[in-house]
Amino acid sequence: MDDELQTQLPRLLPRLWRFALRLTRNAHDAEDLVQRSCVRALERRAQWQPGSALLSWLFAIEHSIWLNDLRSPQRRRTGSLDSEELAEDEAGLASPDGNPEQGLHYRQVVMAVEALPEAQRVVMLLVAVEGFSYREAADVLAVPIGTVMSRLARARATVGQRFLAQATAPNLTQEHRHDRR
Amino acid sequence: MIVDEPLLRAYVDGELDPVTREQVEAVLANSTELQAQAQALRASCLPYRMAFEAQALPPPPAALLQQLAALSAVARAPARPVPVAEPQGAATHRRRALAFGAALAASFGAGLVMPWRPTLPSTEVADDTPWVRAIASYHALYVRQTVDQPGDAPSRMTALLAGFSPQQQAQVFVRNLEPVGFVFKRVQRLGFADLPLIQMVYLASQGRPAALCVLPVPRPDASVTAQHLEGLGVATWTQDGLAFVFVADLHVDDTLRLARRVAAGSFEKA
Repeated sequence: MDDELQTQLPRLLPRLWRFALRLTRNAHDAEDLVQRSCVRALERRAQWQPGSALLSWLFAIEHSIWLNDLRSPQRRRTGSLDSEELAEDEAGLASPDGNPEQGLHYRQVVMAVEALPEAQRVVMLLVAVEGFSYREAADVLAVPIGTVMSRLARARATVGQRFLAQATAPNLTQEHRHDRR
Repeated sequence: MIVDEPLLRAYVDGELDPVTREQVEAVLANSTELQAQAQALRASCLPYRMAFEAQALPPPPAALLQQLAALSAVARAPARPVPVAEPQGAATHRRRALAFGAALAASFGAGLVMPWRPTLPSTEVADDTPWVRAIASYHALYVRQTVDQPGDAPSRMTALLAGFSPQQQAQVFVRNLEPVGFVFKRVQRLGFADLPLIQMVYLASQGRPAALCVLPVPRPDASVTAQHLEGLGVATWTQDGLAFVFVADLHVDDTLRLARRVAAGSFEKA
C-alpha cells in the first residue's frame, strides 16, 4: 500500500499542482498547499484504500487544507480580484494552433468560470475541467452529491447567461479590457 | 412536477428518459423563466477542459519535486530491501528518493563510518549523512498548523518501538522540553530505507515546529554537531547505536546548545 502511494504520488503531482494553482490562484500558495497535502497524504496513507480513487483522495486532502488551513480572509478578498488577471494573463495568450479567435473564446470560458462564486467555481473545476464524476466531486468536497449537482447547475446557468450577454454585446469584453489598461 | 436546477440541467444535457423529458417540456411550455434558464444552460455547453488545458500554467517548482523525493524517502516503510538501481522509466524523483536509501545502505555495507572523536568541537565535521538531509528536508515542510492541535500522549511511544533493541528502547522516550519552551505535540514512526525512524515533534510559542528524531544505526558514539540545513538548525549525535537528529527553527549555535543538553540527559521523561 505504501509503495503504491509513493509510486503514484509523483505521477499525480502535476495534477495536484494544477488543481492547487487554480484553487489558490498563485504559485507561492500553490507550492505551500501541495507540500502540505503530500505530507498529510503520506502521514495518513493508512486511510487510503488501495484500488480506490487515489486522485480523488488526494484532491480531497488538498481542498480540505486549502479551505481550513490556508485560505485566510485576506486571501478570500483578493482572490476574486486576481482571478480575471490570472485568466487573462495565463489563458488569454495561449491559443492552440495560433488561432486568435479560439484563444479569445478559451479566455472567455476561463474568465467566466473564474468569476463564479467560490463553491461553484470549484465544482466546475472538478467536474468540467478535471473530469470527475458527481460522486467523486462530492467526495472531494465532502458534500452530498445533490449539492454538487445543484452548484453545477447554478454555475452553468451563470456562465451561460454571461455568454448570452456577450453574444448580444460582442465588443463589451474587449472594451472593458481596454478600459482597465 | 417541480423542475429544479439539476433536473433542468439533465434535460438540457439530454440525460432524461423520454417520459420525464416530456414532463419537463410541459412545464417549460408554461414558464418563460424556466425557458430562459434552459437557454442559459444550453449556452453553457462550452469547451471547459480544452480552455483550461490551454492555460499556460507554470510547471511544478523543482524545489517541490525535491521535497517530495525527500518526503517519500523518509516516509518509506521498511517493507523490503532497498534496491541500488531503479529500472528505466521510473519517475526521476522516485529514483532520487531511492538513491537516498541506496547511499545509506552502501555506507553501512562498506563499513563507512565516522571516526569516534569524543571531544569533537561542534564547528567541525557536521553530520552530512543522507538521513540527516532527508530528515531536515522532511521537517522543512512542517509549519505550525501541521501540529497545532491537541497532541499525543508521550506514552504512545511504547507502541512504536519495534525494531529497537531493549537497550535502545530505554533511550527512546519523549523528553520534556517545556523548561526551554518547547511543548511536546506528537510522536510518529516513519521510516528511512529499512530503518525505523521515530519523530517527536515540539512546538514553541513562536517559530516553526521542532523535532527530535531517533533511528538505530550501527555507528560508534559521536558528540553533538550542528549545521544549517533547509533554513533550520540541525544538530546530530550518536549514542548507544542510536542516531539523534534535533531540528529546530533556531540559530545553529542555539540549536547546538539545546541539543547538547538533550544529549547530556538534562531533560526528564515527559
